[in-house]
Amino acid sequence: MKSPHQVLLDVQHVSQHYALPKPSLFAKAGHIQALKDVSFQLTAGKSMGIVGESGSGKSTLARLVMALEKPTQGKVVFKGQDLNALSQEKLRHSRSDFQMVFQDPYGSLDPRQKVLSIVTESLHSTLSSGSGQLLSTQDLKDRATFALTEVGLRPSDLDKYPHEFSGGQRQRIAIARALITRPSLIVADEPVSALDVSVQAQVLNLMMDLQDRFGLSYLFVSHDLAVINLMCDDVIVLQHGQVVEAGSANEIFQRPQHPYTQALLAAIPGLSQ
Amino acid sequence: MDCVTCSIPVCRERDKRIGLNMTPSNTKPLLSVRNLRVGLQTSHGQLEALRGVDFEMQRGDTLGLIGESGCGKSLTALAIMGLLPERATVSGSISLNGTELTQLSDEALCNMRGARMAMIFQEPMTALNPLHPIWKQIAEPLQLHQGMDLVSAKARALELLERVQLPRARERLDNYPHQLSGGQRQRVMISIALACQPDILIADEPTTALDVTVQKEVLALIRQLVAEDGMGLLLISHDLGLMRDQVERVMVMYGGAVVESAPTKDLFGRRAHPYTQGLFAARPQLGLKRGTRLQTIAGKVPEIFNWPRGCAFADRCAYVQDNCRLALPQLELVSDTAHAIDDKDADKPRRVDKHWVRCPEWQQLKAPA
Repeated sequence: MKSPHQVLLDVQHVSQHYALPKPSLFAKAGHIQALKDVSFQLTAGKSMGIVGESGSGKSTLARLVMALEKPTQGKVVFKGQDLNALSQEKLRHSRSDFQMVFQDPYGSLDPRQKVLSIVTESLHSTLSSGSGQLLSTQDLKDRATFALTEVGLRPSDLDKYPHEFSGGQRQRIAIARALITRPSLIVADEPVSALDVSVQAQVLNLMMDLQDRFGLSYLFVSHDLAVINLMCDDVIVLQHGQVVEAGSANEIFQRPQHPYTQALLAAIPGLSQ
Repeated sequence: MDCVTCSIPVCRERDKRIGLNMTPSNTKPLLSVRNLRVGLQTSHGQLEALRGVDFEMQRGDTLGLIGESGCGKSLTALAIMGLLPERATVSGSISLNGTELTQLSDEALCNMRGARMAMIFQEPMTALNPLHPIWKQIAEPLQLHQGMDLVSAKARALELLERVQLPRARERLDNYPHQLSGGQRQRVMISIALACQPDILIADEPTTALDVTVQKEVLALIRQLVAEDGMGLLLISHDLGLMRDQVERVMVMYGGAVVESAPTKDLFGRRAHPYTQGLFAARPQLGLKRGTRLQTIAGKVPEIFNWPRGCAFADRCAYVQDNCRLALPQLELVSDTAHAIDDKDADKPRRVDKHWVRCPEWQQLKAPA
């Protein structure tokens, strides 16, 4: 899937405030600034890594890009459209073009649904609305079979429940669910941090293969710098909601300029010798 | 002399009553695990979840257990702590300072836990009780094992929190777990574990839930405290890099058995088991080119009720021979580095760092690139 737009995602000066609970009835409510003036651009087919510790605003940024929240200030422009200016209807329709894979493969799949309904759910909500195009049961099954084979699972797995799968297989199901709408962008929030080393390697390889095959872009949130280094072309380092360093992954990991990036790199275990 | 653990006479009398042998011994290892087997009764029938684990630790030793989910790391820890589910059957021997733990009554075991052996769990939020302020949770083992009253236990709790470098410890005493950050909660967990100065500390993935920079601080703290108190540290982790920094010796587990055991330095120099090699090759490392495909281990970890009779890795192994499938291979010696013994440690047992591997084909393995 080739995108006519060179810049797929353009995040312009976004800030996000959250209100804190009032300390007393008449006191003014304070707020916490989760993101301060964050900007970056993601080119179609490339991957951007977001690095930082808990509380740095990584996940807030992912939620803003997924248009799950409106930024207090700034714009999230996806394929030339300001996501927050879209009507609910239009937004729902364009959601098929950006999908998300979550960290916890146990919490992110509905235990009461079969894989078929988990994987095809997004097709119902995105396709049937905007374009008025309705898919037949057979079409749904075909699309699901295709997506499942792409991630290395068997078509017969469609009739199983999530508990019948291992962590790595569940994460493959989550990727199939994201892939089925043929998105240009997948936001992956710590997609492999709950997996064992050897399973993690398989899932990372799969994500790289899918990127080559479908020209996907990833917005890859992770605390694991080695994973980001492997998966991403560019990186932004967040600290307290601000970008402290941005640039090509190679450059940043070999010659980190900001003390915080240097501290993050120095804290990776096993590198001291 | 008073009780070796907590230096108070009350404790010694209690130990005598329940028949514990509290004499520290230099000749015997601090912790000795011999042919430890754990059977589990499940809906799939009787399963052997640990297939004969052997190791020894001395005071001051740091030992790492590494492996992927379901290989038996945590089960080994729980067996030592006597925290296995009731339907589990344990055979073999676990001896701490000469006391055979597998033979102890529940009451005697209760008196050992927290006092002589302690454990730090992975997720401090679920391991701490959300309904009690942290000082009460630190005071609990002190009241239980050392018979302290509430006032002195609270004072001791403050000392302990200061020792684990919890910032503003005095103000935090009355805090509840949810008011603390992940790293701070883990410090509270550590102070609970260390409250009675146990002989052995088991840390099961103590920093997996923490940020890298916090992880570094917490691990450094554990190491420092363990060295100060002369405890043995059994560290469980799936992070190879972390093992390199934190422990002197590593045991690699797969399918309920130790497949390789070596001094950390030797293991990083030479991986003798095909599984260990696969594990090392599969981790992403800084410096790899963008888009490099990681090496993977073919197949997947066998389900516990499907474990082969022989080597559990046989179906995924490129070097597999017919014999590997018949019975669990024997441990073979890869190298044998005897350490020079200091004069002052002359009464200590001779320290030999052996590199063992449970693979008959280890000499055929190609050295990793």
